[in-house]
Amino acid sequence: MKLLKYGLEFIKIVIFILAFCVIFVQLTYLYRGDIGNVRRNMCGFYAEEEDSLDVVILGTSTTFSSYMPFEAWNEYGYTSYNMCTNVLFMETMKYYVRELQKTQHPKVLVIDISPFIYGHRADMFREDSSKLRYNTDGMSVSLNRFALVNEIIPKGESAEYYFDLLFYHNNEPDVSFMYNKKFNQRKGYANLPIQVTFDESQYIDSIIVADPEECVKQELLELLEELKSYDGDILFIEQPAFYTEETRYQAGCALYVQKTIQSYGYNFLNMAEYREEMEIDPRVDYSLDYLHFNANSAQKITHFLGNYLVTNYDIPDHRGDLKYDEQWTNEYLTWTNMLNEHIWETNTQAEQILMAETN
Amino acid sequence: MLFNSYQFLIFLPIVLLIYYILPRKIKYIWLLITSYYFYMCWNPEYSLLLLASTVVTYLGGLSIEKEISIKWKKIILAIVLIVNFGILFVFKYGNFAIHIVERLIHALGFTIKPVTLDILLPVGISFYIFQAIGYLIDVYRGKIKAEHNFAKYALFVSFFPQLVAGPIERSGHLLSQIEELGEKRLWSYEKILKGFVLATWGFFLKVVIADRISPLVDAVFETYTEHKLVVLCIGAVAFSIQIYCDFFGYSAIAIGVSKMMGIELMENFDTPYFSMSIKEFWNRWHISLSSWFRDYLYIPLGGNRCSKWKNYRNLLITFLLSGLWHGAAFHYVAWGMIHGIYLVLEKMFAGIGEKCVKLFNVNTKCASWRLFRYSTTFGLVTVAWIFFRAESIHDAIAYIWQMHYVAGAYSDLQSFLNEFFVITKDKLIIVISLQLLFIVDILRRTTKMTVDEFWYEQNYVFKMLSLILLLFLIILWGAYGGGYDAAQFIYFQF
Repeated sequence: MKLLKYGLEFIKIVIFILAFCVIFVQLTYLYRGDIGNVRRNMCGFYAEEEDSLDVVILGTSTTFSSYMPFEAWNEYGYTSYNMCTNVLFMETMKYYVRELQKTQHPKVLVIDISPFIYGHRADMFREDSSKLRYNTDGMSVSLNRFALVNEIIPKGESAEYYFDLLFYHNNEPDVSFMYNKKFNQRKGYANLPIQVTFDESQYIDSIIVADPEECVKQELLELLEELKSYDGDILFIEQPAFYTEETRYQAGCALYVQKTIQSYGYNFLNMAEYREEMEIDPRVDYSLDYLHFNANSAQKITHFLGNYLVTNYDIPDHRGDLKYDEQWTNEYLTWTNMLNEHIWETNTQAEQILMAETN
Repeated sequence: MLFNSYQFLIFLPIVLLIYYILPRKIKYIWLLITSYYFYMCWNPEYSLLLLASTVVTYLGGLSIEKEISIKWKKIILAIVLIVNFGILFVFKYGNFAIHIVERLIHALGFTIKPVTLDILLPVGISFYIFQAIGYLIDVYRGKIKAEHNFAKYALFVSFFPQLVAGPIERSGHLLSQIEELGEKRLWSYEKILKGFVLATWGFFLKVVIADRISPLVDAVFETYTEHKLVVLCIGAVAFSIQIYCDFFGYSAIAIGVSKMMGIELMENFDTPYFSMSIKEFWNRWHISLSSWFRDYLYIPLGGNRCSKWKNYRNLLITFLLSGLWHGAAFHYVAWGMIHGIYLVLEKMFAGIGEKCVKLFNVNTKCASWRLFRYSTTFGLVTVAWIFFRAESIHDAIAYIWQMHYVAGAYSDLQSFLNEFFVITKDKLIIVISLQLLFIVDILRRTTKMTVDEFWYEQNYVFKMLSLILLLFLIILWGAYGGGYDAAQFIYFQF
């Protein structure tokens, strides 16, 4: 009898704790902010139907500004998503790989090496918590997220990252982020305006392998080790960067990363080598810097990468398949409206730049 | 370490878990270690003061017990009291005393170089010294036996839940429980649950109400010269609520945490704002301190078993010292004196009041009469709080004087509220939280049960839902995290 009483009390406590945890997690999703509008990329990824993506592109802002999943759908008929965040740290990448495997098993996992070129890591941004939050706050509450916080946040400050409702409790709740899922109409793409222009003569020809910082080497090796247990095709890519004298070291680092990756037997597509083939105009096709792109160049890169993927991998064409109508065929129309707007804006901006150059 | 800090939220479960696991015989040693750790988190050096007060009163207690001669007992008591009050005087009142002397010298026409003692006020010094002194007097009076186990006595003085802001425990009550720790299991499932609920309620009072109201109070008191009657009244009433929730919140956390270990601390607040007189207010507000002053000062002075005028004198002395206990500044003394005067006047006019009631045949059993009495007591207490909160007596008087500006009070209120509550959510949080506080206090008053006892009597579903709701109100509405400092409990400074 006594045992039964204790058992019942124990069950009551368990129910209480479970109820508390479930509510805590759900409220966390509603109260979390969307710093820099990047959380919606990850939430959009979670909102995708399970095992519905043929290609997942893992990367940072260089990735989500250069690849348009809906364009790839329209041209090649495969489904894809940019699993990206602003200022993705090198340390974060392995956790994102683990996280994506929970719901998706894409035919090809494409990994952008830009975080290694920039050398972005948590300790560079200790004073700028928004950058840290870009990396942690898109993720659902999970052991992966806990492990990421444990790795990138100093011990004394981690409580508000582990349990971020404590940090965001003053926000207004947004019910559209229920379950940390919110359908993303751009499938992770984000448009960036032109902010830099280059002259073709600035491009450097001979790039020699550089010796990156130890942490870059270490993080790269950790990611490559992590990927050994990944079941599926992996393609590493380097964006069609425009390297100048100023970024010679970064170009050398990219080469180092490429060689290391290839030594592990992974495919590597260096799009910087195909920059001219893609017809990327250095005067009007870049955005924030040598590695970010606007809508015009993103279209070109998407077509190039899409073509490479369907040529080299066994990726099915789902166009005409009723199963994909709701999320892809129908939504494509909404996308084209957005894209046209972006293209118009970019073209207007480009025309002004070219006109100023002529004058 | 503050109760409302992440550090404490990690510290407490670890302390409790190990406490439950450890053999009974050594539980008190664990509590002693954790209590000193708790105190040293604030300032390790000042734990020496705590230790010094403990050693002196411990040895004093033993010596008094052994000594047969009354004369020597008195001498020992006097020495220990001088040492303890000496520590208190130097660390708490040193600069205040120097300031008074300087002003006196200046008034006499001399000029001297200003001197300031470069010392930090040790957290909770008034609390633990009073607790230790209470023990010593009890031993002297033969009410209790001296504690021979130093570690147990040291735990009595330093028990972490009540170390820095009370309740000021009586030796007979707390020491006996520390004694029992080694003999039987004091904690139980019921006590853990009740303690948890009480502590949670305390967090709600502190983090949601007191800390949310605090900026409003600060805003009014810092700019009182710019405001008129209504805003000033709101500021004063808000402070009454703030200090109640702040201090009651701390006490509830302390009592709750202690209860989770199976140790019962004395109640410190019993719906004080539902008092029909100032006398009743003091039976319900900071009970552990007011009863300390009653037992160790007011009664030894003669209490009310003496002439009318001596009784008035005793009241004034007690409350003057009570004011001084709260802080080394004249406005605290004024606050104490005001309460002393209230009580004297209450006693003086008690007969006249009763006669008037009879003469006009006033129904004293109805709710409207009670409401009237509650309101007048609350009003008087609130006026006194102005002296407590203001920076100086001059500021307090100026604040009250400013209240005579009535014209334009409404537009002043509108502009203040618009300026202060930029976010509507803040206003809503305060209003709803105060309603909840009001309901809980009414229940406390009508059922005569504490929050945790009332909660424990309910059905499981109600208990679960209400506790979850309370926890999430704290998490979502609490003033903490980004944009807030972990506001200290007001009573820490005493």
